Amino acid sequence: MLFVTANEIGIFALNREKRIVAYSLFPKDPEEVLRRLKDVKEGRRIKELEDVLTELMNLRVENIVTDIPFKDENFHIEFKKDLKVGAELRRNLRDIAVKVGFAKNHEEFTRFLSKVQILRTREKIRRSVKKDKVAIQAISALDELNDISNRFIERLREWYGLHYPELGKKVKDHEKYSKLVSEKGHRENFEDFKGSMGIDLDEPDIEAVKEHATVTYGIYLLRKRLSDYVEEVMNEVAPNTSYLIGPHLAARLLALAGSLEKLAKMPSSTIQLLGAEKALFRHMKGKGRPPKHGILYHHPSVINSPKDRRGKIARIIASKIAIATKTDFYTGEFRGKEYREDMEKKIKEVLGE
Amino acid sequence: MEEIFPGVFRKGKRIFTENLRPGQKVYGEDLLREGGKEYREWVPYRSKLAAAILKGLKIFPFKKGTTILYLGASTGTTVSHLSDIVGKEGVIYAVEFSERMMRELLDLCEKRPNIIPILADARKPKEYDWVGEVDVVYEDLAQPDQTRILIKNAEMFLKPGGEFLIAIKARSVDVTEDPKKIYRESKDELSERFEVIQLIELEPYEKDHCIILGRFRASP
Ligand SMILES: C[S@@+](CC[C@H](N)C(=O)[O-])C[C@H]1O[C@@H](n2cnc3c(N)ncnc32)[C@H](O)[C@@H]1O
Repeated sequence: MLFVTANEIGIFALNREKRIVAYSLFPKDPEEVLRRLKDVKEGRRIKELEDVLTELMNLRVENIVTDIPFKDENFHIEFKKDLKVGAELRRNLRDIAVKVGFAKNHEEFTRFLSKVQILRTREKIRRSVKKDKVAIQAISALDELNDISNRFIERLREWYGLHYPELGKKVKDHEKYSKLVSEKGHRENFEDFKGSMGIDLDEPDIEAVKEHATVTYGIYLLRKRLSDYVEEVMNEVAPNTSYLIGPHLAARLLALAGSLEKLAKMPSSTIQLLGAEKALFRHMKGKGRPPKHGILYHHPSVINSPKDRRGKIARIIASKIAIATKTDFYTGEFRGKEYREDMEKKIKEVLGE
Repeated sequence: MEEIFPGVFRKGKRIFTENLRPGQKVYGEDLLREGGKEYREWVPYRSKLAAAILKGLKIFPFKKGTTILYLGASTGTTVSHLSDIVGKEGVIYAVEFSERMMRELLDLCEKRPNIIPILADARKPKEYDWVGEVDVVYEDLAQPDQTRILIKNAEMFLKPGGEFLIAIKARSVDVTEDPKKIYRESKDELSERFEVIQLIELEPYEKDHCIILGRFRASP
Protein backbone atom coordinates (compact mmCIF):
# COMPACT_ATOMS: atom_id res chain seq x y z
CA MET A 1 0.00 0.00 0.00
CA LEU A 2 1.22 3.50 -0.85
CA PHE A 3 0.17 7.05 -0.01
CA VAL A 4 -0.27 9.54 -2.84
CA THR A 5 -0.44 13.24 -2.00
CA ALA A 6 -0.36 16.64 -3.68
CA ASN A 7 1.37 19.77 -2.38
CA GLU A 8 2.84 23.04 -3.62
CA ILE A 9 5.78 21.42 -5.37
CA GLY A 10 4.29 18.32 -6.97
CA ILE A 11 2.70 14.90 -6.60
CA PHE A 12 4.34 12.44 -4.22
CA ALA A 13 3.98 8.74 -3.43
CA LEU A 14 5.20 7.52 -0.04
CA ASN A 15 5.37 4.12 1.59
CA ARG A 16 4.31 3.14 5.09
CA GLU A 17 7.69 4.20 6.45
CA LYS A 18 6.96 7.66 5.00
CA ARG A 19 9.78 7.34 2.51
CA ILE A 20 9.24 8.95 -0.88
CA VAL A 21 9.10 6.23 -3.54
CA ALA A 22 7.98 8.28 -6.53
CA TYR A 23 7.30 11.91 -7.34
CA SER A 24 6.75 14.32 -10.19
CA LEU A 25 7.45 18.02 -9.70
CA PHE A 26 5.35 20.96 -10.88
CA PRO A 27 6.89 23.70 -12.96
CA LYS A 28 8.33 26.39 -10.69
CA ASP A 29 5.63 28.90 -11.55
CA PRO A 30 3.26 29.92 -8.71
CA GLU A 31 0.27 30.52 -10.98
CA GLU A 32 0.78 27.22 -12.75
CA VAL A 33 1.09 25.43 -9.41
CA LEU A 34 -2.19 26.85 -8.12
CA ARG A 35 -3.94 25.90 -11.35
CA ARG A 36 -2.69 22.32 -11.04
CA LEU A 37 -3.64 22.02 -7.40
CA LYS A 38 -7.11 23.24 -8.29
CA ASP A 39 -7.30 20.74 -11.15
CA VAL A 40 -6.38 17.74 -9.02
CA LYS A 41 -8.68 18.87 -6.26
CA GLU A 42 -11.55 18.87 -8.74
CA GLY A 43 -10.72 15.38 -9.94
CA ARG A 44 -8.95 16.22 -13.21
CA ARG A 45 -5.97 14.10 -14.21
CA ILE A 46 -2.87 16.22 -14.58
CA LYS A 47 0.41 15.19 -16.12
CA GLU A 48 2.30 14.94 -12.83
CA LEU A 49 -0.32 12.57 -11.42
CA GLU A 50 -0.10 10.45 -14.57
CA ASP A 51 3.68 10.31 -14.17
CA VAL A 52 3.45 9.06 -10.61
CA LEU A 53 0.72 6.52 -11.42
CA THR A 54 2.73 5.10 -14.30
CA GLU A 55 5.63 4.60 -11.96
CA LEU A 56 3.39 2.92 -9.41
CA MET A 57 2.09 0.58 -12.11
CA ASN A 58 5.67 -0.40 -12.86
CA LEU A 59 6.22 -1.03 -9.18
CA ARG A 60 3.13 -3.27 -9.21
CA VAL A 61 1.39 -1.25 -6.54
CA GLU A 62 -2.25 -2.23 -6.01
CA ASN A 63 -3.59 -0.20 -3.10
CA ILE A 64 -3.46 3.57 -2.82
CA VAL A 65 -4.57 5.84 0.00
CA THR A 66 -4.73 9.45 -1.23
CA ASP A 67 -5.90 13.00 -0.56
CA ILE A 68 -6.46 13.52 -4.29
CA PRO A 69 -9.92 12.58 -5.58
CA PHE A 70 -9.22 10.54 -8.71
CA LYS A 71 -10.39 7.29 -10.27
CA ASP A 72 -8.23 4.62 -11.83
CA GLU A 73 -9.20 1.05 -12.66
CA ASN A 74 -5.66 -0.17 -12.21
CA PHE A 75 -5.65 0.48 -8.49
CA HIS A 76 -7.77 0.03 -5.45
CA ILE A 77 -8.10 3.61 -4.19
CA GLU A 78 -9.14 4.95 -0.83
CA PHE A 79 -9.76 8.73 -0.61
CA LYS A 80 -8.87 10.49 2.64
CA LYS A 81 -9.29 14.23 2.84
CA ASP A 82 -6.91 14.75 5.74
CA LEU A 83 -4.03 12.49 4.96
CA LYS A 84 -1.60 12.58 7.90
CA VAL A 85 1.37 11.55 5.78
CA GLY A 86 0.58 14.35 3.34
CA ALA A 87 0.35 16.94 6.12
CA GLU A 88 3.67 15.82 7.52
CA LEU A 89 5.32 16.07 4.12
CA ARG A 90 4.04 19.61 3.76
CA ARG A 91 5.47 20.60 7.12
CA ASN A 92 8.91 19.61 5.88
CA LEU A 93 8.45 21.05 2.42
CA ARG A 94 11.27 23.58 2.81
CA ASP A 95 13.81 20.81 3.20
CA ILE A 96 12.21 18.43 0.74
CA ALA A 97 11.98 21.05 -1.99
CA VAL A 98 15.74 21.47 -1.80
CA LYS A 99 16.41 17.73 -1.57
CA VAL A 100 14.41 16.84 -4.67
CA GLY A 101 15.82 19.77 -6.60
CA PHE A 102 12.66 21.87 -6.86
CA ALA A 103 14.57 24.82 -5.35
CA LYS A 104 18.29 25.51 -5.19
CA ASN A 105 18.16 26.43 -1.51
CA HIS A 106 15.81 27.51 1.28
CA GLU A 107 15.97 31.09 0.15
CA GLU A 108 14.69 30.27 -3.30
CA PHE A 109 11.94 28.08 -1.89
CA THR A 110 10.78 30.79 0.51
CA ARG A 111 10.57 33.25 -2.36
CA PHE A 112 8.47 30.74 -4.29
CA LEU A 113 6.15 29.91 -1.38
CA SER A 114 5.66 33.60 -0.63
CA LYS A 115 4.42 34.16 -4.20
CA VAL A 116 2.09 31.18 -3.94
CA GLN A 117 0.65 32.48 -0.68
CA ILE A 118 0.24 36.01 -2.05
CA LEU A 119 -1.76 34.68 -5.00
CA ARG A 120 -3.83 32.41 -2.77
CA THR A 121 -4.59 35.20 -0.32
CA ARG A 122 -5.56 37.67 -3.02
CA GLU A 123 -7.87 35.07 -4.51
CA LYS A 124 -9.42 34.37 -1.11
CA ILE A 125 -10.06 38.07 -0.51
CA ARG A 126 -11.52 38.49 -3.97
CA ARG A 127 -13.86 35.57 -3.52
CA SER A 128 -15.11 36.53 -0.08
CA VAL A 129 -15.89 40.03 -1.32
CA LYS A 130 -18.04 38.77 -4.16
CA LYS A 131 -19.79 35.93 -2.43
CA ASP A 132 -22.35 38.20 -0.79
CA LYS A 133 -23.85 38.62 -4.27
CA VAL A 134 -24.27 34.87 -4.50
CA ALA A 135 -26.04 34.80 -1.14
CA ILE A 136 -28.40 37.56 -2.28
CA GLN A 137 -29.38 35.64 -5.42
CA ALA A 138 -29.88 32.45 -3.45
CA ILE A 139 -32.12 34.01 -0.79
CA SER A 140 -34.18 35.76 -3.47
CA ALA A 141 -34.62 32.46 -5.30
CA LEU A 142 -35.63 30.85 -2.00
CA ASP A 143 -38.28 33.49 -1.33
CA GLU A 144 -39.68 32.98 -4.82
CA LEU A 145 -39.75 29.24 -4.31
CA ASN A 146 -41.70 29.82 -1.10
CA ASP A 147 -44.33 31.71 -3.06
CA ILE A 148 -44.45 29.15 -5.80
CA SER A 149 -44.70 26.18 -3.47
CA ASN A 150 -47.56 27.86 -1.63
CA ARG A 151 -49.48 28.35 -4.82
CA PHE A 152 -48.79 24.84 -6.07
CA ILE A 153 -49.84 23.17 -2.83
CA GLU A 154 -53.01 25.23 -2.61
CA ARG A 155 -53.96 24.15 -6.10
CA LEU A 156 -53.05 20.53 -5.42
CA ARG A 157 -55.09 20.36 -2.24
CA GLU A 158 -58.11 21.83 -3.95
CA TRP A 159 -57.77 19.66 -7.02
CA TYR A 160 -57.08 16.33 -5.33
CA GLY A 161 -59.59 17.29 -2.67
CA LEU A 162 -62.33 16.78 -5.24
CA HIS A 163 -61.38 13.13 -5.37
CA TYR A 164 -60.33 12.44 -1.78
CA PRO A 165 -61.13 15.39 0.52
CA GLU A 166 -60.46 13.42 3.73
CA LEU A 167 -56.73 13.22 3.04
CA GLY A 168 -56.40 16.98 3.31
CA LYS A 169 -57.57 16.98 6.89
CA LYS A 170 -55.47 13.99 7.85
CA VAL A 171 -52.17 15.18 6.36
CA LYS A 172 -51.43 18.77 7.27
CA ASP A 173 -47.80 18.75 6.23
CA HIS A 174 -47.58 20.05 2.65
CA GLU A 175 -44.48 18.18 1.66
CA LYS A 176 -45.85 14.88 2.90
CA TYR A 177 -49.20 15.52 1.23
CA SER A 178 -47.66 16.13 -2.19
CA LYS A 179 -45.42 13.11 -1.81
CA LEU A 180 -48.34 10.84 -0.93
CA VAL A 181 -50.46 11.97 -3.86
CA SER A 182 -47.57 11.65 -6.29
CA GLU A 183 -46.93 8.09 -5.11
CA LYS A 184 -50.45 6.74 -4.69
CA GLY A 185 -52.57 8.49 -7.27
CA HIS A 186 -56.01 6.95 -7.01
CA ARG A 187 -57.61 7.08 -3.55
CA GLU A 188 -58.06 3.29 -3.71
CA ASN A 189 -54.36 3.01 -3.05
CA PHE A 190 -54.86 4.47 0.45
CA GLU A 191 -55.77 2.01 3.14
CA ASP A 192 -58.76 3.77 4.71
CA PHE A 193 -60.28 5.51 1.72
CA LYS A 194 -63.62 3.79 2.15
CA GLY A 195 -66.52 6.08 2.77
CA SER A 196 -64.76 9.01 1.09
CA MET A 197 -67.11 11.81 0.11
CA GLY A 198 -65.10 12.72 -2.99
CA ILE A 199 -66.03 12.14 -6.60
CA ASP A 200 -64.63 9.27 -8.61
CA LEU A 201 -62.02 10.10 -11.25
CA ASP A 202 -60.91 8.28 -14.39
CA GLU A 203 -57.34 7.21 -15.05
CA PRO A 204 -56.40 10.26 -17.22
CA ASP A 205 -57.84 12.62 -14.59
CA ILE A 206 -55.79 10.88 -11.90
CA GLU A 207 -52.66 10.97 -14.02
CA ALA A 208 -52.97 14.73 -14.46
CA VAL A 209 -53.29 15.53 -10.75
CA LYS A 210 -50.61 12.99 -9.90
CA GLU A 211 -48.17 14.73 -12.19
CA HIS A 212 -48.96 18.05 -10.57
CA ALA A 213 -48.27 16.45 -7.19
CA THR A 214 -44.89 15.18 -8.39
CA VAL A 215 -43.84 18.66 -9.48
CA THR A 216 -45.11 20.15 -6.21
CA TYR A 217 -43.14 17.63 -4.18
CA GLY A 218 -40.08 18.40 -6.31
CA ILE A 219 -40.43 22.08 -5.47
CA TYR A 220 -40.45 21.27 -1.76
CA LEU A 221 -37.29 19.22 -2.10
CA LEU A 222 -35.62 21.96 -4.08
CA ARG A 223 -36.65 24.49 -1.46
CA LYS A 224 -35.09 22.44 1.28
CA ARG A 225 -31.81 22.09 -0.61
CA LEU A 226 -31.74 25.77 -1.45
CA SER A 227 -32.41 26.65 2.17
CA ASP A 228 -29.43 24.55 3.29
CA TYR A 229 -27.33 26.18 0.62
CA VAL A 230 -28.26 29.69 1.77
CA GLU A 231 -27.23 28.69 5.26
CA GLU A 232 -23.89 27.40 4.05
CA VAL A 233 -23.08 30.47 1.96
CA MET A 234 -24.19 32.87 4.67
CA ASN A 235 -22.00 31.18 7.27
CA GLU A 236 -19.11 31.91 4.99
CA VAL A 237 -20.10 35.44 3.93
CA ALA A 238 -21.33 36.76 7.27
CA PRO A 239 -20.72 34.23 10.06
CA ASN A 240 -21.38 36.69 12.88
CA THR A 241 -24.63 38.11 11.56
CA SER A 242 -25.81 34.62 10.63
CA TYR A 243 -25.16 33.32 14.12
CA LEU A 244 -26.79 36.35 15.67
CA ILE A 245 -30.15 36.31 13.89
CA GLY A 246 -30.10 33.13 11.80
CA PRO A 247 -28.72 32.80 8.27
CA HIS A 248 -32.01 33.39 6.44
CA LEU A 249 -32.96 36.62 8.11
CA ALA A 250 -29.35 37.74 7.73
CA ALA A 251 -29.50 36.98 4.02
CA ARG A 252 -32.73 38.95 3.63
CA LEU A 253 -31.13 41.97 5.28
CA LEU A 254 -28.19 41.58 2.94
CA ALA A 255 -30.53 41.51 -0.05
CA LEU A 256 -32.31 44.64 1.15
CA ALA A 257 -29.02 46.46 1.70
CA GLY A 258 -27.54 45.32 -1.62
CA SER A 259 -24.16 44.13 -0.37
CA LEU A 260 -22.29 43.26 2.78
CA GLU A 261 -20.28 46.43 2.47
CA LYS A 262 -23.39 48.60 2.35
CA LEU A 263 -24.96 46.77 5.26
CA ALA A 264 -21.75 47.06 7.30
CA LYS A 265 -21.73 50.81 6.76
CA MET A 266 -25.35 51.38 7.76
CA PRO A 267 -26.22 52.94 11.11
CA SER A 268 -28.35 50.68 13.27
CA SER A 269 -31.37 52.99 12.92
CA THR A 270 -31.39 52.29 9.17
CA ILE A 271 -30.98 48.56 9.70
CA GLN A 272 -33.94 48.59 12.08
CA LEU A 273 -36.17 49.93 9.31
CA LEU A 274 -34.82 47.91 6.37
CA GLY A 275 -37.83 46.48 4.58
CA ALA A 276 -40.19 49.12 5.99
CA GLU A 277 -39.46 51.69 3.29
CA LYS A 278 -43.07 51.85 2.11
CA ALA A 279 -44.45 52.51 5.56
CA LEU A 280 -41.73 55.06 6.12
CA PHE A 281 -42.63 57.00 2.97
CA ARG A 282 -46.28 56.86 3.85
CA HIS A 283 -45.47 58.30 7.24
CA MET A 284 -43.32 61.06 5.75
CA LYS A 285 -46.18 62.07 3.51
CA GLY A 286 -48.18 62.55 6.66
CA LYS A 287 -50.14 59.32 6.50
CA GLY A 288 -49.82 56.65 9.13
CA ARG A 289 -47.55 56.19 12.13
CA PRO A 290 -43.79 55.83 11.87
CA PRO A 291 -42.75 52.18 11.44
CA LYS A 292 -40.86 50.56 14.31
CA HIS A 293 -39.37 47.67 12.41
CA GLY A 294 -38.92 46.40 8.89
CA ILE A 295 -37.99 42.88 8.10
CA LEU A 296 -36.72 42.44 11.65
CA TYR A 297 -40.39 42.01 12.50
CA HIS A 298 -39.83 38.37 11.54
CA HIS A 299 -37.26 37.83 14.24
CA PRO A 300 -38.83 35.50 16.84
CA SER A 301 -38.04 37.87 19.70
CA VAL A 302 -39.96 40.66 17.98
CA ILE A 303 -42.90 38.75 16.62
CA ASN A 304 -43.48 36.82 19.86
CA SER A 305 -43.33 39.84 22.16
CA PRO A 306 -46.09 42.15 23.32
CA LYS A 307 -46.81 44.86 20.79
CA ASP A 308 -45.62 47.74 22.95
CA ARG A 309 -42.14 46.20 23.38
CA ARG A 310 -41.49 45.28 19.77
CA GLY A 311 -39.96 48.59 18.77
CA LYS A 312 -37.51 48.50 21.66
CA ILE A 313 -36.52 44.93 20.95
CA ALA A 314 -36.07 45.62 17.25
CA ARG A 315 -33.75 48.45 18.23
CA ILE A 316 -31.63 46.17 20.40
CA ILE A 317 -31.36 43.59 17.64
CA ALA A 318 -30.53 46.20 15.01
CA SER A 319 -27.75 47.69 17.08
CA LYS A 320 -26.14 44.27 17.53
CA ILE A 321 -26.54 43.55 13.82
CA ALA A 322 -24.69 46.78 13.09
CA ILE A 323 -21.74 45.46 15.10
CA ALA A 324 -21.89 41.92 13.72
CA THR A 325 -21.94 43.04 10.07
CA LYS A 326 -18.93 45.28 10.69
CA THR A 327 -17.03 42.35 12.17
CA ASP A 328 -18.05 40.23 9.18
CA PHE A 329 -17.00 42.82 6.67
CA TYR A 330 -13.85 44.23 8.21
CA THR A 331 -12.21 41.35 10.03
CA GLY A 332 -14.15 38.12 9.45
CA GLU A 333 -13.26 36.96 12.95
CA PHE A 334 -15.95 34.97 14.77
CA ARG A 335 -17.50 36.68 17.80
CA GLY A 336 -21.12 35.77 17.11
CA LYS A 337 -21.53 33.87 20.35
CA GLU A 338 -20.77 36.80 22.62
CA TYR A 339 -22.88 39.14 20.47
CA ARG A 340 -25.86 36.86 20.74
CA GLU A 341 -25.52 36.29 24.46
CA ASP A 342 -25.36 40.02 25.01
CA MET A 343 -28.35 40.65 22.75
CA GLU A 344 -30.46 38.01 24.48
CA LYS A 345 -29.59 39.44 27.87
CA LYS A 346 -30.76 42.90 26.82
CA ILE A 347 -33.98 41.54 25.34
CA LYS A 348 -34.73 39.73 28.58
CA GLU A 349 -34.31 42.97 30.47
CA VAL A 350 -36.85 44.70 28.25
CA LEU A 351 -39.30 41.87 28.75
CA GLY A 352 -38.69 42.11 32.49
CA GLU A 353 -37.71 38.47 32.79
CA MET B 1 26.42 52.76 14.34
CA GLU B 2 26.86 50.19 17.02
CA GLU B 3 25.36 46.72 16.53
CA ILE B 4 23.59 45.95 19.81
CA PHE B 5 21.88 42.73 18.67
CA PRO B 6 22.32 40.80 15.41
CA GLY B 7 21.03 43.19 12.74
CA VAL B 8 19.96 45.88 15.24
CA PHE B 9 22.00 49.09 15.29
CA ARG B 10 22.07 51.97 17.72
CA LYS B 11 23.04 55.52 17.07
CA GLY B 12 22.54 57.87 19.96
CA LYS B 13 19.08 57.22 21.33
CA ARG B 14 17.68 55.76 18.13
CA ILE B 15 17.77 52.19 16.81
CA PHE B 16 17.87 50.99 13.21
CA THR B 17 17.82 47.91 11.00
CA GLU B 18 19.67 47.58 7.72
CA ASN B 19 17.21 48.10 4.89
CA LEU B 20 16.61 44.97 2.82
CA ARG B 21 15.07 47.19 0.13
CA PRO B 22 17.26 50.31 -0.02
CA GLY B 23 15.41 53.45 -0.90
CA GLN B 24 12.04 52.20 0.31
CA LYS B 25 10.24 53.20 3.48
CA VAL B 26 7.49 51.08 4.98
CA TYR B 27 5.61 53.32 7.42
CA GLY B 28 7.15 56.75 7.09
CA GLU B 29 10.27 56.00 9.15
CA ASP B 30 13.57 57.84 8.60
CA LEU B 31 16.20 56.41 6.26
CA LEU B 32 19.88 56.94 7.07
CA ARG B 33 22.96 56.24 4.96
CA GLU B 34 26.22 55.38 6.66
CA GLY B 35 29.31 53.47 5.58
CA GLY B 36 27.80 52.59 2.20
CA LYS B 37 24.74 51.02 3.85
CA GLU B 38 21.20 52.18 4.31
CA TYR B 39 19.40 51.90 7.62
CA ARG B 40 15.72 52.31 8.55
CA GLU B 41 14.82 53.80 11.87
CA TRP B 42 12.92 51.41 14.10
CA VAL B 43 10.39 53.62 15.86
CA PRO B 44 9.53 52.49 19.42
CA TYR B 45 6.25 54.39 19.38
CA ARG B 46 5.16 52.34 16.38
CA SER B 47 6.65 48.93 17.14
CA LYS B 48 6.45 47.24 20.54
CA LEU B 49 9.50 45.16 19.83
CA ALA B 50 11.57 48.31 19.33
CA ALA B 51 10.16 49.64 22.59
CA ALA B 52 11.14 46.41 24.36
CA ILE B 53 14.70 46.68 23.02
CA LEU B 54 15.02 50.24 24.30
CA LYS B 55 13.57 49.16 27.65
CA GLY B 56 16.25 46.53 28.17
CA LEU B 57 15.28 43.29 26.43
CA LYS B 58 17.83 40.68 27.61
CA ILE B 59 17.68 38.06 24.88
CA PHE B 60 17.09 38.86 21.22
CA PRO B 61 16.21 35.58 19.51
CA PHE B 62 16.44 36.84 15.94
CA LYS B 63 19.37 36.78 13.51
CA LYS B 64 20.08 36.00 9.88
CA GLY B 65 18.22 32.88 8.84
CA THR B 66 15.77 32.73 11.78
CA THR B 67 12.31 31.28 11.02
CA ILE B 68 9.46 33.12 12.74
CA LEU B 69 5.76 32.55 13.18
CA TYR B 70 4.27 36.04 13.61
CA LEU B 71 0.69 36.22 14.87
CA GLY B 72 -1.15 39.51 14.32
CA ALA B 73 1.03 40.87 11.53
CA SER B 74 -1.28 43.82 10.84
CA THR B 75 0.11 45.97 8.02
CA GLY B 76 3.63 44.82 8.78
CA THR B 77 5.35 47.58 10.75
CA THR B 78 7.26 45.23 13.05
CA VAL B 79 7.33 42.46 10.47
CA SER B 80 9.27 44.72 8.11
CA HIS B 81 12.10 45.17 10.62
CA LEU B 82 12.23 41.45 11.36
CA SER B 83 12.39 40.97 7.60
CA ASP B 84 15.49 43.21 7.56
CA ILE B 85 17.05 41.20 10.39
CA VAL B 86 16.44 37.59 9.28
CA GLY B 87 17.43 38.46 5.72
CA LYS B 88 16.82 36.40 2.62
CA GLU B 89 17.75 33.14 4.33
CA GLY B 90 15.11 33.61 7.04
CA VAL B 91 11.31 33.32 6.88
CA ILE B 92 8.46 35.13 8.57
CA TYR B 93 5.10 33.37 8.43
CA ALA B 94 2.81 36.35 8.93
CA VAL B 95 -0.67 35.46 10.21
CA GLU B 96 -3.39 38.11 10.06
CA PHE B 97 -7.13 37.63 9.88
CA SER B 98 -8.33 41.07 8.91
CA GLU B 99 -8.72 41.35 5.14
CA ARG B 100 -8.23 45.07 5.28
CA MET B 101 -4.87 44.75 7.06
CA MET B 102 -3.92 41.84 4.85
CA ARG B 103 -4.34 43.86 1.67
CA GLU B 104 -1.64 46.24 2.83
CA LEU B 105 0.53 43.44 4.14
CA LEU B 106 0.41 41.76 0.72
CA ASP B 107 1.97 44.83 -0.86
CA LEU B 108 4.81 44.52 1.62
CA CYS B 109 5.20 40.79 0.86
CA GLU B 110 5.54 41.54 -2.85
CA LYS B 111 8.59 43.63 -2.04
CA ARG B 112 10.03 41.36 0.65
CA PRO B 113 9.90 37.71 -0.37
CA ASN B 114 11.00 36.44 3.04
CA ILE B 115 7.49 37.20 4.36
CA ILE B 116 4.86 34.53 3.74
CA PRO B 117 1.34 35.88 4.23
CA ILE B 118 -1.33 33.72 5.85
CA LEU B 119 -4.91 34.98 6.02
CA ALA B 120 -6.19 33.01 9.00
CA ASP B 121 -7.43 33.19 12.58
CA ALA B 122 -4.60 32.51 15.04
CA ARG B 123 -7.12 30.65 17.18
CA LYS B 124 -7.26 27.98 14.48
CA PRO B 125 -3.63 26.99 13.87
CA LYS B 126 -4.78 23.83 12.09
CA GLU B 127 -5.57 25.99 9.10
CA TYR B 128 -1.89 26.71 8.61
CA ASP B 129 -0.38 23.55 10.04
CA TRP B 130 1.78 23.24 6.91
CA VAL B 131 4.03 25.93 8.37
CA GLY B 132 6.07 23.35 10.28
CA GLU B 133 8.61 23.96 13.00
CA VAL B 134 9.90 27.52 13.64
CA ASP B 135 12.66 29.05 15.75
CA VAL B 136 10.56 31.82 17.31
CA VAL B 137 6.87 32.60 17.84
CA TYR B 138 5.94 36.29 18.10
CA GLU B 139 2.42 37.32 19.05
CA ASP B 140 0.73 40.71 19.15
CA LEU B 141 -3.03 40.23 18.86
CA ALA B 142 -4.59 42.49 21.49
CA GLN B 143 -7.20 39.84 22.28
CA PRO B 144 -8.56 38.78 25.67
CA ASP B 145 -7.52 35.16 25.07
CA GLN B 146 -4.06 36.08 23.74
CA THR B 147 -2.06 33.86 26.13
CA ARG B 148 -4.17 30.82 25.34
CA ILE B 149 -3.65 31.46 21.63
CA LEU B 150 0.11 31.68 22.16
CA ILE B 151 0.23 28.39 24.05
CA LYS B 152 -1.74 26.62 21.34
CA ASN B 153 0.53 27.91 18.58
CA ALA B 154 3.77 27.34 20.44
CA GLU B 155 2.81 23.74 21.12
CA MET B 156 2.16 23.19 17.47
CA PHE B 157 5.04 25.08 15.87
CA LEU B 158 7.79 26.16 18.24
CA LYS B 159 10.92 24.02 18.24
CA PRO B 160 12.04 22.66 21.62
CA GLY B 161 14.13 25.34 23.28
CA GLY B 162 12.74 27.99 20.91
CA GLU B 163 11.85 31.46 22.19
CA PHE B 164 8.58 33.33 22.14
CA LEU B 165 7.65 36.96 22.60
CA ILE B 166 4.12 38.08 23.38
CA ALA B 167 2.80 41.61 23.64
CA ILE B 168 0.16 41.91 26.34
CA LYS B 169 -2.36 44.69 26.10
CA ALA B 170 -3.86 45.02 29.57
CA ARG B 171 -6.95 46.86 28.42
CA SER B 172 -8.00 44.18 25.98
CA VAL B 173 -8.01 41.62 28.79
CA ASP B 174 -9.88 43.71 31.35
CA VAL B 175 -10.46 47.45 31.17
CA THR B 176 -10.99 47.95 34.88
CA GLU B 177 -8.23 45.76 36.30
CA ASP B 178 -4.81 47.09 37.30
CA PRO B 179 -2.44 46.37 34.36
CA LYS B 180 0.27 45.04 36.66
CA LYS B 181 -2.09 42.39 37.93
CA ILE B 182 -3.00 41.35 34.40
CA TYR B 183 0.68 41.11 33.44
CA ARG B 184 1.31 38.91 36.45
CA GLU B 185 -1.62 36.64 35.62
CA SER B 186 -0.48 36.27 32.01
CA LYS B 187 3.01 35.52 33.23
CA ASP B 188 1.74 32.87 35.64
CA GLU B 189 -0.35 31.24 32.95
CA LEU B 190 2.64 31.13 30.62
CA SER B 191 4.95 29.85 33.36
CA GLU B 192 2.95 26.66 33.56
CA ARG B 193 4.06 25.68 30.09
CA PHE B 194 7.16 27.79 29.44
CA GLU B 195 10.22 29.20 31.06
CA VAL B 196 9.46 32.91 31.38
CA ILE B 197 12.67 34.90 31.00
CA GLN B 198 11.64 38.53 31.21
CA LEU B 199 8.65 40.84 31.50
CA ILE B 200 9.17 44.31 30.11
CA GLU B 201 6.73 47.17 30.57
CA LEU B 202 6.67 49.43 27.54
CA GLU B 203 6.02 52.83 29.13
CA PRO B 204 6.50 55.53 27.95
CA TYR B 205 6.30 54.18 24.39
CA GLU B 206 3.04 52.27 24.88
CA LYS B 207 0.63 52.73 27.73
CA ASP B 208 -0.61 49.62 29.56
CA HIS B 209 1.40 47.23 27.43
CA CYS B 210 4.14 44.78 28.26
CA ILE B 211 6.14 42.19 26.38
CA ILE B 212 6.89 38.80 27.86
CA LEU B 213 9.90 36.85 26.64
CA GLY B 214 10.14 33.14 27.27
CA ARG B 215 11.41 29.82 26.13
CA PHE B 216 9.66 26.61 25.21
CA ARG B 217 10.41 23.54 27.23
CA ALA B 218 9.71 20.44 25.20
CA SER B 219 6.80 18.61 26.82
CA PRO B 220 8.04 15.34 28.35
C1 LIG C 1 -1.95 45.38 17.74
S1 LIG C 1 -2.12 44.85 16.08
C2 LIG C 1 -0.52 44.21 15.68
C3 LIG C 1 0.53 45.23 15.31
C4 LIG C 1 1.78 44.60 14.73
N1 LIG C 1 2.20 43.50 15.55
C5 LIG C 1 2.92 45.58 14.59
O1 LIG C 1 3.64 45.78 15.57
O2 LIG C 1 3.11 46.05 13.48
C6 LIG C 1 -3.08 43.39 16.24
C7 LIG C 1 -3.43 42.71 14.92
O3 LIG C 1 -3.83 41.39 15.18
C8 LIG C 1 -4.90 41.04 14.35
N2 LIG C 1 -5.63 39.97 15.03
C9 LIG C 1 -6.38 40.06 16.16
N3 LIG C 1 -6.87 38.86 16.50
C10 LIG C 1 -6.42 37.98 15.58
C11 LIG C 1 -6.60 36.57 15.40
N4 LIG C 1 -7.33 35.85 16.25
N5 LIG C 1 -6.00 35.98 14.35
C12 LIG C 1 -5.24 36.71 13.48
N6 LIG C 1 -5.06 38.03 13.61
C13 LIG C 1 -5.63 38.68 14.63
C14 LIG C 1 -5.68 42.32 14.18
O4 LIG C 1 -6.45 42.32 13.00
C15 LIG C 1 -4.57 43.37 14.16
O5 LIG C 1 -4.16 43.65 12.85
